[in-house]
Amino acid sequence: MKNIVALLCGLVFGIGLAVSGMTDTAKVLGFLDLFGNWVPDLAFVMGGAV
Amino acid sequence: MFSYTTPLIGGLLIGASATAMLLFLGRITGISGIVWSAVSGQADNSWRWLFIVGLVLGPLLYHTLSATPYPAASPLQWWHAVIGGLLVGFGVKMGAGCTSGHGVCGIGRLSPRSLIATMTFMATGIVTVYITRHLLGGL
Repeated sequence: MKNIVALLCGLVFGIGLAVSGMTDTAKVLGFLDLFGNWVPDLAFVMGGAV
Repeated sequence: MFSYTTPLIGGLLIGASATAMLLFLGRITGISGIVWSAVSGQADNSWRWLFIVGLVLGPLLYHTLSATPYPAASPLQWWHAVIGGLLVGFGVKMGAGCTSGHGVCGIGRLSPRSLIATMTFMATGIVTVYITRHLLGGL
């Protein structure tokens, strides 16, 4: 039971990362680049997650 | 223009996953901690390995079923990733958590320690990107 839940949670977590584009290193770097072409996506991902 | 719906939906999925982990397993979904415990061979490890398997299969499934292309590979060299990974691993162990454990679970639980950790690594990341991109003119 515990194992099935963990597998499903991992799946959902991974899908969440992929859907939100957080598997794209360029987007994560873009979020940290406040003084360039800022990509605010990560803030929305964090907001949604929290 | 950016669409904020996919980041929001993705974030909600991550949050739902972390909540279910806390609810059903009583565990904080800190990816770095789960991976560390899994590779360092702690007792009762099967759920950790299964979580990691799911974490890898999830994006694979998403990209295959939705026919969305994979994100472009980073233009960096492999040894950049090795150095970066080592630094991240060091910091994660010292700071007792990463983006998932502190950023999502910790802030979600209103933990002051996690809030400080998240603000610190985000600020450090911003400064690092500023230096490498705008002062040194790199990536």
